[in-house]
Amino acid sequence: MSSNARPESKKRKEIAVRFSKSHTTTFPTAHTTVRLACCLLIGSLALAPTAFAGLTQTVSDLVPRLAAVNVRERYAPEMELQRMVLQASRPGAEAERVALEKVLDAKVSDPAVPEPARVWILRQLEYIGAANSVPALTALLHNSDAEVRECARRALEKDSAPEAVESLREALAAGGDTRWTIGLIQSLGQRRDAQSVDLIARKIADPKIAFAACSALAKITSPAAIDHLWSALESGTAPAADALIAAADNLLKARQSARAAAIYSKLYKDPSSAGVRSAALVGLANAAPDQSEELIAEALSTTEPRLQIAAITAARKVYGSGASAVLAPLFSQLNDSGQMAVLRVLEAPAEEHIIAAAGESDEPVQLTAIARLSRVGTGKAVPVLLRLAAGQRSPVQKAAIQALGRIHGTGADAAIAEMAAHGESAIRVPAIRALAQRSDTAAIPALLYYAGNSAPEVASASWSALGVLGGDTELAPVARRALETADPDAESALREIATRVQDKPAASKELVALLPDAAPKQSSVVFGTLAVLGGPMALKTVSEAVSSGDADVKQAAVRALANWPDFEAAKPLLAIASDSRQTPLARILAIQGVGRLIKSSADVPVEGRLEAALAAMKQATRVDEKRLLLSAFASLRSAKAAQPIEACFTDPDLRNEAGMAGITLARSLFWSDRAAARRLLRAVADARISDQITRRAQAFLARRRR
Amino acid sequence: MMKTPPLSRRQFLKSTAILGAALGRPAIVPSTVFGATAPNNRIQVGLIGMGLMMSSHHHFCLARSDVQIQAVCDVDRTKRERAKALTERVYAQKAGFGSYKGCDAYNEYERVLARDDIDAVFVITPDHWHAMITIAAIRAGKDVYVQKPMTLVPREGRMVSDLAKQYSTVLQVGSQQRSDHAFRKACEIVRNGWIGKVHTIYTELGTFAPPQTLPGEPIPDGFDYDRWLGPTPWYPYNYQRVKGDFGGGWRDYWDYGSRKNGDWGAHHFDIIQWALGMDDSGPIEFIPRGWDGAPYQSHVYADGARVWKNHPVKHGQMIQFIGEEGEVLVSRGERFETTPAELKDKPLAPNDIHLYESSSQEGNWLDCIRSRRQTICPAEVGHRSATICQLNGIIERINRPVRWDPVAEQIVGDEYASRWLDRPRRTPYVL
Repeated sequence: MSSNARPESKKRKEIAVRFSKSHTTTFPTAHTTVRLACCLLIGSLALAPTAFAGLTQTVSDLVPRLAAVNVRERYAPEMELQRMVLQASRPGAEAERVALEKVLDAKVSDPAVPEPARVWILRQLEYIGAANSVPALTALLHNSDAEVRECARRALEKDSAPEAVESLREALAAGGDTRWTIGLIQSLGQRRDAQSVDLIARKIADPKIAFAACSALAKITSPAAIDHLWSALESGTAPAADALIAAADNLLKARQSARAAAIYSKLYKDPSSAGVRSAALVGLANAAPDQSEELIAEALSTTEPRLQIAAITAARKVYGSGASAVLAPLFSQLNDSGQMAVLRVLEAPAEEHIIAAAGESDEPVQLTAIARLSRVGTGKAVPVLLRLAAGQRSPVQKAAIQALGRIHGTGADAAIAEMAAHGESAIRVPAIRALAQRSDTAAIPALLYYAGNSAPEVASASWSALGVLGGDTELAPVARRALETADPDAESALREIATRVQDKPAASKELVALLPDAAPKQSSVVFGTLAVLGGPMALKTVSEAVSSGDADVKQAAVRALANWPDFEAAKPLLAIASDSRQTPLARILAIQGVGRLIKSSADVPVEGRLEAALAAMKQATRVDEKRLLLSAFASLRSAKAAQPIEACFTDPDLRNEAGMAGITLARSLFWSDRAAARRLLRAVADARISDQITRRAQAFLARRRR
Repeated sequence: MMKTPPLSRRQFLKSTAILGAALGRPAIVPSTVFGATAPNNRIQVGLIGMGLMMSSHHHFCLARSDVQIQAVCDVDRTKRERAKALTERVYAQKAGFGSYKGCDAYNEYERVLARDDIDAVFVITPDHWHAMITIAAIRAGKDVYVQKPMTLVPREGRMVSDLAKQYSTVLQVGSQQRSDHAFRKACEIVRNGWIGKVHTIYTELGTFAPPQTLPGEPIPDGFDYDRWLGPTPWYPYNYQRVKGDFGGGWRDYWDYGSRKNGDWGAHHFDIIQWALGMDDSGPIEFIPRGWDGAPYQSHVYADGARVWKNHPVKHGQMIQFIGEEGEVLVSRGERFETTPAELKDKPLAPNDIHLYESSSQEGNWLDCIRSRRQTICPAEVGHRSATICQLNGIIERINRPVRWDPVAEQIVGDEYASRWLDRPRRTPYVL
């Protein structure tokens, strides 16, 4: 096709310009692609006999390729033809479509066209076939090749011309085997051909055809079709009931509500299938709301959950936003599944029913009620939710806690705040937790007050809530209270807040300012929080405190440094590790801190970390720290890290860890320094540390050789 | 309160053990609670389509003490017999018996649906069979878990959705990213407007190799090829055409699926629908790649938000939402980033939109069967997401844009493109 491309027409250029100026796609009648040019060419030529001949030739050239002996070679011409068809089917290109349709009609009618080509062309007529195609397709309904017949049937089914239906009807009348009959019935149903009803109905008695026949009659929906379906139902034809539902649905879509309602109403009375009754009730609510009101209450009072759900669907349709008011009075008369179904649609005005159900002993009903309160509950629901949240650990308790975090009706915020402030501790605790769950930052001042409560559970819950809610503003006041009370919960809250602080230098400054007034034993509160914040000022303060004359202050500072978040702490830690005046514990903590920082500071250049690791290794005296540092060496992607690892291959306490560290390091080196990686792996293998380590090193070497 | 008379096993299942309606966890009443005639409280399931995708569902069911696999079904005898053997072996081990014989294997799904002792079915076939089996299951009174995309063409989806609602079926579509915490959180951020009005969404679906026209091969013994093809046009059998393969196989062919549109698209387009609050609607325009020089295929919502398919996504993530005030990027494996960064950990306030929570797509379905509550991905949601996959597939083939009316569910002003909204079915397979 591309060889037929011609320069773009003026109109096409105008369209392209318009498109390039707009982000919103418009829908012109022509393509802006290269293929468009081909289509326009076909279109313009389609009106001329010579052009038609050209198109015929193009398709004729494709035919032998569509039937190529090498089946795989058929794909390209198949797609070529399909592209032609789809382009010709675009809006505004009717002349092109007709021209191509005629060519394809001629080809499918030509007995010289081989079957694979004919089948493919027939499938294209599904997409573009119209009135012109009917004669050719009709003739093929009688073809000796079953596949050709079947393709012709499907193409006629999709063919928009009324004559196509006549052909299908005549073919059904002419008879055929079961498979063929089912196909034709399906097509006629799809086309909703009322004139075929009697022909189709005659086939209902055949169990193999009954489903297709009922399905087709359900689509046709003429009075005669419906009558046949009722007869089929009465005679026990299994698919008839579902087909009648489908028929009523189709009638409803066609705005024949009264006829649809009559079917739904009659089917609802049939007790044989809960599914059909359910569908009938929902359908009736759509077709005739006034007729379904009584049935909604009746269906809800049954013990069939499917029908109860249908009643809710129907009630929503019939009563809209008023469903809650209608269903609420029925609530107490229903069984559990009915109550649960109703609970899901009750709105705030029916809250008393929901609250009562939340207090029920039946757990599934309780859970449904609690979930509903979380959506529509008001302040009135808060006491019951708090009572449940204060109860034993259970699904109900969990649901109540969750609901307290979400309930947002009128007065809910105030009720929770009120119950957090007063009353028995068992209720105050979940109320305080709810304040945190609800991100209620307005409660922070109150929480600071509650944190001083004499009831330890109230104080603990308040600190916990402050840890969740607090930010930059709360850091200093919480720190002051933590220093005053020496409460571990307060210290936890302080550190929690520090993780979220935005202005870390300012926060550090505020904390450092508290140090002069803090008791030495309390300095860990400040130092530990500074270790969360990090930064130069915090580091300087804590580093200096290492030299304090007070043992408590000193130890707190060392512990804070050992937990420091960034690599800047490595230097003071190494100083501690190498200072013989420090306690053994301080030196151990310092080495551990260095080891941790080396592994966690991937953004720091490897040379600096390697240097720190070597220095720490020099100071390490215990096996535990040496092992930690071996894993730190293994995390450094540097060939220089191999040497300290290899040095431990002969140490009986460290050789296993050294061997594993060697393999880990070799793996990470492999893509940057393959020679070093291989050398290290060979060293590990040669060290004969253990069978397992040797095997792993050798296996890795062998794999990488491949 | 009026209390119920003795119930049948199925009624019991649906009306009593309903814990989890609010918490998303099943409630299993110990069997010791019941007397000798008490109904079994397990959900009895049938598995239809024992191929690649069923494997995880099969193992999920085997691991659940509240689920009993009563039947397996596949048109491939080897697959169904293997599944039956595995099921019986596991149940024998669990029960401490030497053997167990209680799982039947069928070639025809109709035989699974005809059994009164089966409450629910998994429909995990290739896409071209989804609608037909699902509709039959709905009408047979079964609850349904159907793999995504729910159907092959939009008209089938509308039918499934309407019927599921009418018949009060608990239907779950297997778009399991909805049960992934990171995707839900990403959607909540978008839905609550934390990144402002969303104008652009990028998502990568990947590509399949073009389909091939393949020569016929002998049909393997025990493989019901006619039934495998079902309502689709006849082609000679070739293993490459029918095999289950995440990288191709039947997924390559438009007759059986929507290629990548229905593969990853059914996941990512679904999440985008959820995030934009369009679960009962959809885009209004679909524009193919190359149209007006567009480097990627896209579809556009009425508010102007445009989804670019296969546009590279930052940091190799799966979906990127770009709003006027920020971005959200999200992928499987809890990969989740936001701009501003703090949005990621911002808790929802009581008045914010809280989306449906589920941590397991299959588990949520089972809970909902017990409670009769709506699933996280019911038929209407599955249909709307599948429609986007299908319309993307249509424009990919017809190579022109279509304007879509998501209310009437019609292609506007393009008669012949509209023909693609449904398909004629090969006899004797009737919808």
